[in-house]
Amino acid sequence: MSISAPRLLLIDDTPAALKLLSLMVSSMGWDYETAEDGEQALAKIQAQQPNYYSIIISDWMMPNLNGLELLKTLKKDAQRRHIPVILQTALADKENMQQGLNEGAFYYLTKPLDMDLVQSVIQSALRDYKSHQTLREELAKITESFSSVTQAEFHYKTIEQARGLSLLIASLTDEPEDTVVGLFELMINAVEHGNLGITYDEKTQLIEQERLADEVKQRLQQEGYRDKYVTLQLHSDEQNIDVVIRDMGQGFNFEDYLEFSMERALDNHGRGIMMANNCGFRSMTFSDGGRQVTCKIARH
Amino acid sequence: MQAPDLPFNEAERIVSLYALGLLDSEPDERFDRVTRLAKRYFDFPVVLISLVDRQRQWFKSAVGFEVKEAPRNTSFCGHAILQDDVFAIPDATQDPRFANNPFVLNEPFIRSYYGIPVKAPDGHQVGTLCLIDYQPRTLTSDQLETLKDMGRMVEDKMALNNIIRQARAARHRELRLNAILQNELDAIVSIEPDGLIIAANPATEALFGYRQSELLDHKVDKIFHRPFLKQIHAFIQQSELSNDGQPLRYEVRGIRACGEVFPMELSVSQIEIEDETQIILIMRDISERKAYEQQLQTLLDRLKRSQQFAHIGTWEWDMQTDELYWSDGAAVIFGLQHEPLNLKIEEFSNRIHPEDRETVADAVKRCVESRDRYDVEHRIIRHDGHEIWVQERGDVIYDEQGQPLKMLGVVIDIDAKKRAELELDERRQQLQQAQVRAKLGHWQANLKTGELYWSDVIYDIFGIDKTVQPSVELFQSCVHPDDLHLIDKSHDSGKQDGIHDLVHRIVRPDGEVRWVHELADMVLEDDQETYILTGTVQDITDLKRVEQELLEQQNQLRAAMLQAERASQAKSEFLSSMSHELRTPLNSILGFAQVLMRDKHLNELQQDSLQEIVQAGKHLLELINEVLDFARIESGQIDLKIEDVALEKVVQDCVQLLKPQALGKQVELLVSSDIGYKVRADRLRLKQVLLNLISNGIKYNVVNGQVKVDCQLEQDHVRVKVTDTGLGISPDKMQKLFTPFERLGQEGSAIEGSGIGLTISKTLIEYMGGDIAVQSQTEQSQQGTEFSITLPLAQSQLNA
Repeated sequence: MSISAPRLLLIDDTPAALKLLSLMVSSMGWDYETAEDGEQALAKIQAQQPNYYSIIISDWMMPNLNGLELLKTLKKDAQRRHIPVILQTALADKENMQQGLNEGAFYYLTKPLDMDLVQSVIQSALRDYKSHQTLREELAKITESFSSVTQAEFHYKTIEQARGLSLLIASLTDEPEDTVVGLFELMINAVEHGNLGITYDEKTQLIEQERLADEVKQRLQQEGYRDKYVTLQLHSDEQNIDVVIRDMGQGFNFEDYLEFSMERALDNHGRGIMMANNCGFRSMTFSDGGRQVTCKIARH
Repeated sequence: MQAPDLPFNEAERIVSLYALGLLDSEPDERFDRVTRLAKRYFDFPVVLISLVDRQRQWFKSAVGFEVKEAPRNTSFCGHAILQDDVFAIPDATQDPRFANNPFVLNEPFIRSYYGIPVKAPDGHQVGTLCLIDYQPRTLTSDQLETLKDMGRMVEDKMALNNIIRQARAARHRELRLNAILQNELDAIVSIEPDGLIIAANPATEALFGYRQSELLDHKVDKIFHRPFLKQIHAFIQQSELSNDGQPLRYEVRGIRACGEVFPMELSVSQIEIEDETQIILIMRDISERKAYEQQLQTLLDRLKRSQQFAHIGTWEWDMQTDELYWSDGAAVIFGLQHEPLNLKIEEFSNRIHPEDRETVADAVKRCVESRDRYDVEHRIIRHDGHEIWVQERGDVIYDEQGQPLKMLGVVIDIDAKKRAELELDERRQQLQQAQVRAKLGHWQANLKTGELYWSDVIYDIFGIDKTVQPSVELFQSCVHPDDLHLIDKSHDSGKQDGIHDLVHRIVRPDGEVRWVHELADMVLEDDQETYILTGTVQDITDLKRVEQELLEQQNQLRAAMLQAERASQAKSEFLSSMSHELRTPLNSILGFAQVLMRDKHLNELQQDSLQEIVQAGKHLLELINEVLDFARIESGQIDLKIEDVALEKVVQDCVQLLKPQALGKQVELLVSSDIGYKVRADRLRLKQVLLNLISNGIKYNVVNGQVKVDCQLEQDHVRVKVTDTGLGISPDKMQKLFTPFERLGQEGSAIEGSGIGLTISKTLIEYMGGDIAVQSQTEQSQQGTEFSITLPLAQSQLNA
């Protein structure tokens, strides 16, 4: 299946708003379809293959099925829960935002829309979606797994290595499609923020400038960074897999990133740890000032 | 006639005679045989064996003679015993000693007498064997010798008789002794000094359970619990030392054949029989006695203990000697360790509490004089100084003349009870007072008979004279007519749940209506038809009034709150819909403008115009946001999440966000390095305030000016200062700084603003427990304005 041609579903009951959003999206060069309320949208989504829509942007307040209800319904659909849902509303109060994010919305856009932000958010959602979708697809290719492992230690340096390793480990778990995302996010976090010392704001900027991958590659070659590696230890018993990921960086204030934060709600990244924290691990504990994270995952 | 002299040893002779036991005895063939033989041999008509008594001679055997005895003073034999040889009188008429003897002159006309003295075995001449004839006779020397021999024969008979008699006596003695031994209840055992048993009576067999054969020739230790021979010897020594002839008694333990050990009383004595020493043991089973003693002791102990437990003691006062006896129990009550000796009545009278002495004295007097029972409660001062209450009961014993002899009685420690009573009295009084004050009375009603009891307070509540006898009927007449049905209802439900609980009105005789609360238990008597109610009634008129007032106030308050809530709800809804309704069109304005701006075919004018639209739209948006925010804050609809916030991080975030603005205005942003404090604040709202202040500093600054952020510690607060290098604010305008929509003459200027930023900041800072202040210089030399806020320090920093 192809993920190269993303298709967006835009939903709003106000014709002017729907028209505006459509204009914005098309001017940004993406394909889209529209719906005038949640019910109509759900019908459309369910009529198609699960991966037909790459992103759903929905107004909150709508007749029939509102945006939040639509979101909840999709999150219960095992095949469609990975589709990023961006909510938009003219109600800009904190409680609503928090509620939407807690239910698993990717973003919460407030009207009036800022076109640059809309673009950035869509790009970010697509990037995550593609990346995770690729992971999941690769996961499906793993037929043989080292399921008899009880104890192992890995060292890795690059994002690509992290990706491969996360797939391998996820394949051992009970819900690999969920855990792979969490593991991958934690593992690249250890590389990018840990070993390579890229700060939150730097990353914001690098994504903005689409230079993140290059910067990572560059730092991996640099003196002071190139000898650093991440250690991943794995212990397994009949029920659980314990994964310990340890980097060689300066550590970070992990408490701030475990939950949705209003301050970062509109940033183009910063939800990796939060996603890991919500991806179905039995437990996730940071220690040593954020240099080490321990996850307990149900075994397959 | 000459009466015979008395022998020199007459007294001993008489003893010897009596010892023979022949006087007045039955005839004896053995003696008669001698007299018959003598008669035949000598051919004398009379032969006698005569025993010479004090005043008479008595004939043990007589042939040819009728009388059994004759006076001594006229006797021939009395003379005969004075000499050893035959006393021979051949012819009495020729002998001056007997010629005028009445037995010679008269019947039986004795003429000749031959008597040989006979001796008792001990040698005393106790009588004679004599021959008598009525004509003169002369015996040959041969015959005289024969007579002597016959006299010896009599002596032999007497000796034999003595032996027989002694033997018989001995036999009797033995029989008697045996009878005693056989029937004796005590066990009697005789042993040899080496401990061998040589005799034992039947009681011994019974006592120890051995047969004679099992005892005789066995060691005496067999019957003692412990080897005992040595001790027996020690006992004997003691016995001898004590020297009063009485055998000593000991308590020892014996052992029966069955192995049972039992206590016995033992007396030991030692006797000599034919130079052989025997030890006599007399033993008696005293287990029963011991058991009785034990029982008695137990009873005494029990009595003593029960006295102690019951705090009871007994006493006895000898009124003649004033001696006093106290039992242990009594002594303890009076604070002594144990039963004292030699007490006088003063010991008691001194212990009576001074205030109670008269009472006690009166009671004693009444008891003695009027024979009333002595029964008095009073206080005593114990030995240790404690004061306790006791009760005494007693009686007097009189002698035959009616004089009081003794007083006997008990003393009981009733301190705890008495104190409880006294306390109860006090409590009762307090309760009474409390009830009066609380206007609370208690009552009991019998619904069947209509009887009713009221405590005093109830009369006051109902306004009824205390002389009136209350009744259920009277009560009902006092109940407010409209509330009568409530009483019936409460009684009906009380029959189910046993509780009578209601509030109703009463009408006092003076017409005043009062509220009362009745609360009672309702109990059905055993007869299944009588209900008894016991409970209280309280005048709650005042309470009711207050309650009523409170209720009214509450209602008003509730109405006001409801109104306020509705208003607030309306406002909240209004703000929400305002936000929504304003944003929706603005979304179109800004959105389409932004889309248009991306069109590369627009000319400069069109681009400019679009820029203006976007600019104005953003300003409008900001205005809407602030106005709505302000409205929300004003109506208290914000939830602050107060937590420990790192000041530096917030300031840096603000600077980061405002950098583009500062760059555009060519204003330098300076952050002091001394801002590493943690404060108590809502992170987002604090950021909002700082953004407002710094952004103002930028907006109202001069070109190439500066905005500086620093802070200082003020006790438990941190003051954050934002200082600009602008033109400053004149004092008259400063007052209006925090007034909403006051832009201080900037309304028409190019500087955008809503005019409520500072108002919001002030409110927010105050919500967070701080304040906001402003200082400004408008002098040319020292321009600039300093806005400062204070925030509480985080707890962690206070301690540091």
